[in-house]
Formats: sequence, C-alpha cells, structure tokens
Amino acid sequence: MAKVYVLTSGKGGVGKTTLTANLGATMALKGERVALVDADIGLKNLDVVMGLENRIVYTLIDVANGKVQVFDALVRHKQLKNLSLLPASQIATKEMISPDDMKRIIGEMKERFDYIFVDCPAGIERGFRNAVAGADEALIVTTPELPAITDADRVIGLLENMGFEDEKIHLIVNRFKPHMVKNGDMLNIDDIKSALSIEVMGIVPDSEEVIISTNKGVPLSLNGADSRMIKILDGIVRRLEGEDVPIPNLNDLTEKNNLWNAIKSLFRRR
Amino acid sequence: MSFFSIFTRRKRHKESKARDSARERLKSLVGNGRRMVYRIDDFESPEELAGKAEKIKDEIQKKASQLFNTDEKKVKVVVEEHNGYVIIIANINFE
Repeated sequence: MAKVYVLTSGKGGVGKTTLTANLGATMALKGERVALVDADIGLKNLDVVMGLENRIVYTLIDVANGKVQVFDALVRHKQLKNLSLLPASQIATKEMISPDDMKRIIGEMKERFDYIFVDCPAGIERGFRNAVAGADEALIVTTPELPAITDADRVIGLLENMGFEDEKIHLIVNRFKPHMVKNGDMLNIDDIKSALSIEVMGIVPDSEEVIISTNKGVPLSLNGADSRMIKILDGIVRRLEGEDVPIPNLNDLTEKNNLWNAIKSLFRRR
Repeated sequence: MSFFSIFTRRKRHKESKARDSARERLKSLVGNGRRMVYRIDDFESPEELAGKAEKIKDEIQKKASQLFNTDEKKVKVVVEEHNGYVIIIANINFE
C-alpha cells in the first residue's frame, strides 16, 4: 500500500510542482513504484515539468467522472517506467472534483504504488481540500521569505484542523540561499523552524540547475545535475522512507565555486 | 568607486540586517500561535446541517437532472460549511 504525501504551501510560486517532480523521480530511481498526481486543475504544470505534456490522453476529471479507470489515465515516464503521472485537466475547474472523488481515486491507486505525491494548487480553497483529501502526510513547502512562511503557518493550522497530527506534517525549505544567511540577509532554518514548530524534512538550495531541468522537462536526477543537488534530493527521499539522515548544514548547501565547476560551466555555456 | 563600495557594504551590515527585521516581523506574525484559521465543521448543530444538506442535495439533483436532461447520478452535490457560510457546489455532467 502506497504512502501518500501532499506537497502544499498556501502561497504560489514556492516550487511545489518542481519539488513534486524531482522527489518523485529521485524516489523512482531508487526502484520504488511512484505516482504523481497533479491536483492543480485548471493551472496544471506537473506534466510540463516532467516533459510529459504531449502524452496525455485522459485526466483526473475523466477519472472523477467515471469516463475511464484511473490506471487508464496514468502516463508513464519515458525513462523511468516505475514513475507515473495522473495529469490534471487545463479546461476544467477545481470545483469539478470533490474531496470524496480524490479519496476514492487515491485509494484505488494505493494498491499499485509504493509512494504517491500529490501536487497541491496554491490557495486554501477547494483545490487545497481536494489535494489533501487522500493524503496520509503533508510536506509543507516554503521559501525563506515572510509571505511564504506566514502562508505555510496558516496551511499547517488548516491541516491540524482537518485532523493531521503534528508528526504527519513536515517542512521543506526551498530556494534557500546559504550566502545570504551567512551575510545575515535571510532567515536561517532555525528561525523558520521555530516559527512554524514542525520538523524539517529537507532544505533545497536555490539553483540554476532547477530552471535548466524544468525547461528541458527532465527531472534533476536524470539531467546530470551537480552532485550537491542530487545528494540533497536523495537525503529528503531517504528521510521520507524512514531513514535517519542528518539535515545538511550551511556548508553542505553552498555551491562550491572551485576550478572544476568553473571549467564545467564554461563548457555548458557553449 | 569599488574602493568606497567596500566601506559602504561594511556599514550596511553594521546598521541593520534583513534577517533581524524578518525575525522580528515573523515573531509578531506567527509568534503567538498559528494564524487565525476556521474549522470547516463548526456549524452550531452538525446534525441539523447534515439533515439539511441531504435534503438540498436531493432537490438539486432532481431539478438539475430535469433541466440538463441527464441522469441524477451524474449530478454531484457537495455541501460544506465555511466560517458560518453554507457552500453548495454542484457538478453536472451532461455529456
């Protein structure tokens, strides 16, 4: 039976979709059977980040309406055959699906997968309720800025009201800039952790590699990203699997500007 | 110019740090517990809401299936209560 994680934030643009794709791909590379569900109906993007936008035949709405079975709507990843996507529809709205529909669909999927990641839309309205309906645990994605943190706090409150226990709500800090923290220009992890009072599952540094892989439609772990990013994603995935992996410190998160990296970037530009 | 900018940068660090002001503001925003959130199911009498919700669902299903010439089963009605408002969402599949 699959363990279902919803990636949510409240605020838009913090990197939920990119993280969903990259955590899913990293998990699949380890041999787990992984499904990604795009619950951002109307503003779907997960298929684009995964590079699967031209392979969609049926969507979540078709499954909710009983037009097709959920397994007929799943799109398999080109390289990772154990990674599937349940795409969202662009011409539908969030109101066309209910939390009960999501529970039923996720429930059916659970049998055939080890992990399911649900990409939640921004906001705390119907789309949010749909996305969290079938989830066992929540990954709160935030960036180290006040608007994102305060929205994350509100989402945590909503999840608690919906019955999620504290130990089922985890934090991922995305687009972290170690050099700004070192200069005293950005909140550090302890500041964010003490404000939100939830366990940190991962810290993802800001990286140009993410933009490159999104533009290519190839997840970081398949795109030959630098070892630092792969190690960071691998750490999060191992923590999700229950391994005791230490959270990286500022030095681990800092991009090394050594001679080898400079040479590599020179060739990449060409 | 670059020579003077070294001093400017140093001065700025001494004056104020963005992290310090962010930390203070964050404390005032979320320091005293979670930001205000409303329960979804805080209707005064949940039984009363459930009873009324079933009635209105039946009525909407009947009327919508007549108007859109579709099976009643294809009309999905969800009744929710948010912060004192009863919200009714109807999805009518008349394909």
